[in-house]
Amino acid sequence: MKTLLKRFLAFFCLTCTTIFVHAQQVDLFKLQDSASAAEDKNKTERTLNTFYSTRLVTTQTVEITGKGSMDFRINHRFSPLNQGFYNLFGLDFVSARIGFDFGLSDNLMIGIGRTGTNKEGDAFLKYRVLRQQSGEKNVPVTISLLGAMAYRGIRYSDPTLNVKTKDRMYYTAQVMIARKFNEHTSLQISPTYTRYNRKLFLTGGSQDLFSIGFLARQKISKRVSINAEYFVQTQRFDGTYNPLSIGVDIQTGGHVFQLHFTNSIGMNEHTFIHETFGSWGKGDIRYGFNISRIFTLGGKKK
Amino acid sequence: MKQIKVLAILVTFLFIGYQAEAQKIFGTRNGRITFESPTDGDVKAVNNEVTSRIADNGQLTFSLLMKGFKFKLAEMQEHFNDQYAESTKFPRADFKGNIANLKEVNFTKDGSYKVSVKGDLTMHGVTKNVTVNGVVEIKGGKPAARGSFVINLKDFKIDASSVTEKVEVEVSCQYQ
Repeated sequence: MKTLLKRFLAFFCLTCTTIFVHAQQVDLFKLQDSASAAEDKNKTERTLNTFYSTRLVTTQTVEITGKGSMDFRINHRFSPLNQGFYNLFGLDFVSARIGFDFGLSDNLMIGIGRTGTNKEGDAFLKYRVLRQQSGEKNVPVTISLLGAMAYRGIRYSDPTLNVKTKDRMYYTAQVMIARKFNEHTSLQISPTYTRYNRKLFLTGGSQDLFSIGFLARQKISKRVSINAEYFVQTQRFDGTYNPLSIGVDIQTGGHVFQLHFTNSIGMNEHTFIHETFGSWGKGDIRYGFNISRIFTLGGKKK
Repeated sequence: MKQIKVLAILVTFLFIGYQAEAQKIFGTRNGRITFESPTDGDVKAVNNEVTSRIADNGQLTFSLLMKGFKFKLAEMQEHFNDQYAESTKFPRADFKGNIANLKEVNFTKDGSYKVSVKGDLTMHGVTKNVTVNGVVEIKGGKPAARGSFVINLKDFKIDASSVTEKVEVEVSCQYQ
């Protein structure tokens, strides 16, 4: 009886051991699932593509041109639509800005450009100080800073104006605060300060101007978005309006096409914010488009 | 008494038997997976942070973050994550497979063994059965795995037809 009991016990132990050993057999598939889940819990996810491009329509977004990339941008603004059929609703005349942007690091870019209207050259530097991210470390917004300057090169025929070089300079400082709410919707506000060293042919307003830009991006498909931007100025030059632009971005590989309607002809900061003489109400709406093509600098390229 | 002795010996033997059968697992967190378009050499990325495990029972797993793929062009990397892989929605790609010809692999003996791995590849929310031919190399008791295969992007509902239809994937892992 005793032996039998012992035998039984031994058998029991053996069975247990067998089960135990079997349990020790790790299922790699399950192991991977639990390991991945644990890892995902602790990771911080950077928000990408708050906007498609470094400009929404004309306004700078928080985005930075990729490091080592050159962005060749051509912006066009046609004449107002209300000029009628004789000017083919404005399409007979176009003002253009040709620009080159360079991504210097992950968060720093510079750009130069030339605008036909008033023969202006401009240069800017944009730095991203904070990036939106979620997960273990949460950052709700992306913040970038912009410093821009422009030189108005047009010849003034009136010698009594006595225009000096410094009178041709314009400066802009802007803080951009943006949040991508979801895959589709991004908003940005841009408090802006602009300095006019001299008001030439402008009355009212001030040499020191403050404004706030409001930008919105709504994606309607993976490659198409609808954009709007609007600036509220605290002081305005006589005869100017707040600029409002509504547009569509179409993204194809390395190109971004931006088509829009705007009441503004300026394509650098000080002109489009503060020198918009067209009014949406009166039909001074211009058709415009931007083309952006990204090239890679350095290294071999096909 | 004798019976118990026999039994004890039997148990011990069985236990040893099970001990010997206890599985060996090797893993790495720095596996390398690259992919390249056969039509456009610029479409090329590498992920050096692949988690992978291999067991001598033939199980083989890989897991990686799509955002871990690094491209030479920053813009291309953004497009990859934003428009093609949709990495925010589908952050991970994952493979769970078995070595089909496990009998030909001796994990305890140094050598190079040709293997065929069959399993499920999950990417972009789609799971598909794939077969990968590769090599398992045992050196000093540590395995390494290499293999390559072609992914038809359409199979995973990734619409990148304007860029490339297929990518060639290369896997290389040294396990510890």
